[in-house]
Amino acid sequence: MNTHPLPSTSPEHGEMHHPSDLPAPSDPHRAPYAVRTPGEGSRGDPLAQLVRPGSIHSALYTDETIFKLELERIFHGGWLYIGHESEIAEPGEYRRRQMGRQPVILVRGQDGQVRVLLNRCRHRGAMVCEQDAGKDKVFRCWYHGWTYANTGELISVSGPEGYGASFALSEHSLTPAARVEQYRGFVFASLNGSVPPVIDFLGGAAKIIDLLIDAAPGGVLSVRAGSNRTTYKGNWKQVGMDGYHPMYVHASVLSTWERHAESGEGLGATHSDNPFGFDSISETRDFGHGHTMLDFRKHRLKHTGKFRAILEKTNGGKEYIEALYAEHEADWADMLIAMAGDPHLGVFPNLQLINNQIRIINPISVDETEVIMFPVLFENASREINALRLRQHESFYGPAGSGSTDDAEIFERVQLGLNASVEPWIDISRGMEREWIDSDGSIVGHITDEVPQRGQMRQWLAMMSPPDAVSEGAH
Amino acid sequence: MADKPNGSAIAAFTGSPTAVAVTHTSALYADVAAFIFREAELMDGHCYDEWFDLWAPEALYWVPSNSEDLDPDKSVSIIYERYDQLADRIFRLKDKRIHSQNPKSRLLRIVSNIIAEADGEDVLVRSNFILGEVRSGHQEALFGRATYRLFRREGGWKIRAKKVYLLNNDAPMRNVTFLL
Repeated sequence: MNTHPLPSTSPEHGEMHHPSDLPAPSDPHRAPYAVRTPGEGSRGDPLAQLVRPGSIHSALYTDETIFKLELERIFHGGWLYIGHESEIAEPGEYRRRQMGRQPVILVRGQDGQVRVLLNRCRHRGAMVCEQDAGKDKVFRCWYHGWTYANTGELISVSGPEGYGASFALSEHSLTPAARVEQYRGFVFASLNGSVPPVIDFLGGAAKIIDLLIDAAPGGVLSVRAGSNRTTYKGNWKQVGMDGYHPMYVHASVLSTWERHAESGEGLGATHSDNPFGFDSISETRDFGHGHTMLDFRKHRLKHTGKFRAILEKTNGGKEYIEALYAEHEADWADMLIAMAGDPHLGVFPNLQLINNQIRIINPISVDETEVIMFPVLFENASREINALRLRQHESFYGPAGSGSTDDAEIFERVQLGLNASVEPWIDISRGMEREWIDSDGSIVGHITDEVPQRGQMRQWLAMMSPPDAVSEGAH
Repeated sequence: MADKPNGSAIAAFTGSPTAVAVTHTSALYADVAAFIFREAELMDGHCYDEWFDLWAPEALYWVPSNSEDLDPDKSVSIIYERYDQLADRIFRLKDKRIHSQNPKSRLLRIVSNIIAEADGEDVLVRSNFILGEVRSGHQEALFGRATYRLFRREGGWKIRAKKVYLLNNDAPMRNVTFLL
């Protein structure tokens, strides 16, 4: 939308200004004084000026140059969630996915190994996989017929006599992502090889992912129930983890739930006794690395009987409960049933585990985002329990759901509002005075506090302005 | 698949072996078509209560995702609701705080290609539609196929089941919280 060139001269920015000291920017959609790309030489760290302890500059959501840097440094420079291994349970099964701008194939080879391959023929660059999902032994480029095994190896080219003796098929395999690692079936990939092991990247968030996995008997998830694909005209970072909004954004849903608070089987049934209230014991939590959580654990443990009651009147529910207690310590099984398989976790930058779904966030442009929702079923639970999970999901999420549609509408209002950038600062200070650090190092606040927003912004800045950003700019 | 797919979802939109086509020149066809056009008008006009009145208590309202005929117990839908959930949807549509419909979508749909089949006391109806939507200065065009199971009661038609197949149901989609 904004294609203005970067300013050729950079204003002074030696000291922090109070927001009101700053002049109104001449081009309100651009960061007025701070953004330069690597290579232009930089004194200090311009991006750091856009992220303050309790506020951030709206350019983070509206500036095209910053968006391009995000693609490069966050989406092409770090771990991304790609998919779940159950989606490609059998050899040859594949799914097309995006890593920022880059199309990739998540595929299980004939050798059983899960790979993430760049979806680009090594000859002239056409995509070799054109279906969203499928199963095949080979990927064939239909431009000139180069054919790859589902392990990525080039197995034949047409007219091989046209290539010299030095041409080796083995040097033209589909390019793999630099790193591919799994956490209990969750497949992550990075196009940058210099990233820590995924388990270190996840840190304290891993144990929260377990809240979903362990809620499945045998720990076996099935992510083969299709997806809801939604889009909104707003920046990708708007899909945050926010516990302050429900009473306003979802006021109409809360009214609906109140109609049958005791009898309902929808999502409302696990949300009794307003978990978002100002007197709620629910919390927000920042695990570091931008991973954040709306932490309902204390609240739901108080109301564990509700979900248990729903399970007990659902076919297969008693067996489900028995299975969890047989597999886990009683305390953890209590927690799993109380949480109903809902971690409410955001793994920076593109994964969320919310209610019964895995959610992938794909940035399309600075002001457009795609959100793909994959409901998760439990492989060893009854048809009725899984149908209940799907119905709960649809009631709130997806393009006709009662919740995510109102979220998207508000995101669009934010995106439009941020264009009014005479006073460009976005306030994310709520709860700064009362947040505290837990024994595991995570930062904790009240459910309505902006602990997650601050945590995500800390990681954003760490990835966007690495300590060696200035020297990186040299090449 | 080893186990049986969701029976009610399949049966609702499948004619029995004795079902017979309704000829286009018959009074029954004209009657059914008039009902379908009337329903379209209610949906375009956001006449929530009047539209909900068209439904029978055994209501099944289904908007599949990703395909037209996946087993709804194993695959996610966009909407899969019975009467009570549909009542909740109507309740919320009338709440002023439904932000995704504030302002409301302006809607206009063209319904065509109506095919009917008499199935005992029910009539199975299939129709195609083009639905134009304008909201906040932006126009969308949705294409789809609606399949109904209707029956006559108190002189009018009631909907036992309705399935709405959106042509773009596997593509990134903006909100479709208005009546489909």
